Amino acid sequence: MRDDRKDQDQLLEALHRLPRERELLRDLWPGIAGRLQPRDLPQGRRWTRPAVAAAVLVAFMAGVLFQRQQLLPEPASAEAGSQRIPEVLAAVQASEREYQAAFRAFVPVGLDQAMLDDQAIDDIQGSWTQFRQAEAALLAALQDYPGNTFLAERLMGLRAQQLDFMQKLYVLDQNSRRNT
Amino acid sequence: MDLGPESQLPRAGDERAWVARAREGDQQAFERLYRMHSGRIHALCWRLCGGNAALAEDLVQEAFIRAWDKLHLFEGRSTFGTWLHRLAANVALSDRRIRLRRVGNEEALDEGVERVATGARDVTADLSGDLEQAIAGLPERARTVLILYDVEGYAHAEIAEMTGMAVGSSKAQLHRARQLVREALDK
Repeated sequence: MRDDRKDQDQLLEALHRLPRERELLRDLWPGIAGRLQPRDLPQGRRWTRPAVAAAVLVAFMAGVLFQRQQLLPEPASAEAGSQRIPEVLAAVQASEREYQAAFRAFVPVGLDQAMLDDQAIDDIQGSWTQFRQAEAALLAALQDYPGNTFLAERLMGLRAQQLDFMQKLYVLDQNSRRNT
Repeated sequence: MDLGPESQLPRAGDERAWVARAREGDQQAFERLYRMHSGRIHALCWRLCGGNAALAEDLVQEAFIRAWDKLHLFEGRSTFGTWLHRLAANVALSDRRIRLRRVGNEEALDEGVERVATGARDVTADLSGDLEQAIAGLPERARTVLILYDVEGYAHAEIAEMTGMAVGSSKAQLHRARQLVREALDK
């Protein structure tokens, strides 16, 4: 019995002493990096496509500025919201699917950063950052209040703005390809 | 990518900063986290899959990709390493559950089927000692519980939650696993 106990203690000690780390025989990072979904727009290397026509850029930036003012829709009334929860949540799910699909299709698209002036790049990135910050805040709030139709509608509004934003970037990208 | 001398293990505060940057979409920051934790995650996955090097690499990759996708859910209540470790264990266990389902009902598995389900092992080439070899030779569920409890320090309740088995089953599997390891070492 005592021997059993001793054996067990020795085994446990040996198990605790096992190395907690094990070196990989090859670097897995390239494979991992290739499968990471980009979370944010464009930091330098994603802006890989050719130049942009100045006129299109001006029109595009005007569109961005206009959207900034309309980023979030007006809240729905709480009373009406409580009766519409299932339909709003279904609409949110559909909106999320549409957005995620568009985002996945969108990320390979880019612009040639070298052909844009710093202000244009800052404006585009700044606008997208604003979208992402609003998105993060809304998703966090919806985690806490998943049935809240007001938040859900705000998210849908934001998704519509993001889809529109991506559509404009896509058009910009297509124009830049035609022009080069 | 060469991260230079800064890629050495940083202070905990730096890790939080890199996690924050990775959450914002900075893949270089996430690469730093990968460099810091891949050894630990690899050891876990390698043991959980019984020393199958190729499968362990797949699991490590999958764990980091899942971590990237779920990084927004990391709330900082534990360290990033603890969160990642738990996530990696879940990835490995999910993968094994899928593999086990392919060969039949998990409840009905005998040890022979479990061994088939884990695929070919390259344990003889890779194991550094008798103990690792004895662990790798354990039946699937016994090995899982032994690794998670005795090596990694999870509680039975946590193991039960991660594996879907009852707490009592986890304790029974641990008892069985220790016995089998001792027998293997005595041979």
